[in-house]
Amino acid sequence: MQINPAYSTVLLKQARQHFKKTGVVQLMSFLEDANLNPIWKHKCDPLKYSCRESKCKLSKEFKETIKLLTGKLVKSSKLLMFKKGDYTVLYDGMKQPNVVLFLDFVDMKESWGGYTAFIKNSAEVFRIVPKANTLTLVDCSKISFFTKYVNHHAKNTRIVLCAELDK
Amino acid sequence: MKFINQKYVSNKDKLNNQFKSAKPFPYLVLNDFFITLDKVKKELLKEKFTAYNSDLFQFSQTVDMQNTKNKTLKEFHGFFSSKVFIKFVSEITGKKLNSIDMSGFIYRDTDYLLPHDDRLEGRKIAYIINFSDLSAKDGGKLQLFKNKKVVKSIVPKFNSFVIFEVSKDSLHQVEEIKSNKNRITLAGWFHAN
Repeated sequence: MQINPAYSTVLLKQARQHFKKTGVVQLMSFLEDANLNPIWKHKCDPLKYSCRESKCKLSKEFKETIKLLTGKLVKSSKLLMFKKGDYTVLYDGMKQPNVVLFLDFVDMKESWGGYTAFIKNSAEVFRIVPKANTLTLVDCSKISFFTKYVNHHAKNTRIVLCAELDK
Repeated sequence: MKFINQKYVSNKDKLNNQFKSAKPFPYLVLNDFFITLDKVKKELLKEKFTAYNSDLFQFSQTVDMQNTKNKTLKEFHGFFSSKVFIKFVSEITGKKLNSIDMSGFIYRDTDYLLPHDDRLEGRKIAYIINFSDLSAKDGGKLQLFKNKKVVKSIVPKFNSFVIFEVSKDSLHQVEEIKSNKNRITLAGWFHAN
């Protein structure tokens, strides 16, 4: 997992300022290369989620770059796959992380579903429509999120690295 | 009971047994239930449907039919919420019931309702009146769960009346619509207040 060298320390610090100010930052063409080698396991609890999950080992460079971007450490990470019919929903007692990282590997059209919707006070405030090799960091201290049901028109499968960062 | 097929009115005990013994939880599918529904369907489609989109669902819905100004729908709602009809549903389900709510729904291509159990204070029996004839490949089936898996799928048929008991076990969903056919229903709950 090599980071695109165009992301210099200066650029990452600028991105950090933006993240601090707005609570969201997106960096495109983030990785130079990624060897994921996932081993997928189906995860389904109909009342909460349906997707596939794989372990994902992050490189030292990746973790250090995220620390530079956010000032926080990566606490946990996993790869998720959302095929047609997959989803996550909001539910009572759901664990609410502080800062969440999404790194998408596949382009998805918004009309296919599979995007991440962010909810504040019961209203959607913004969404991440998956774009390949795009990193999104979101401060989730006051918002929750779900992955929209992937409908039968979807021509791709969403593959996304999700990581939770320390407080 | 001028609105419903007489064969059901005279078979309440049999229906009650079918309801109680249905798996994975008590339910009934009564085909050709109403004497006629064509006019109700025509008038229902004149109502205003608002699109809703969340984590759990995507569909379009009317306001509660008790507020409709449409004469045909008012009359239909009047019958459905009448003491005599609620008593009939009480008898076939064995549940004490005393009121209803009712809204119109349209599920279009890609619309869906994910698994949930419907439990909310006072809701005893959920119901669906189907105004569409769909085939299995169109999607839109009402699907009942047991042990977190779909074990029963009910394909919408025009003029079928579907009821099921609301409980902690009544996990169900409306499958995504996978064609350009619409799934049109009037649906809601019978309550015990």
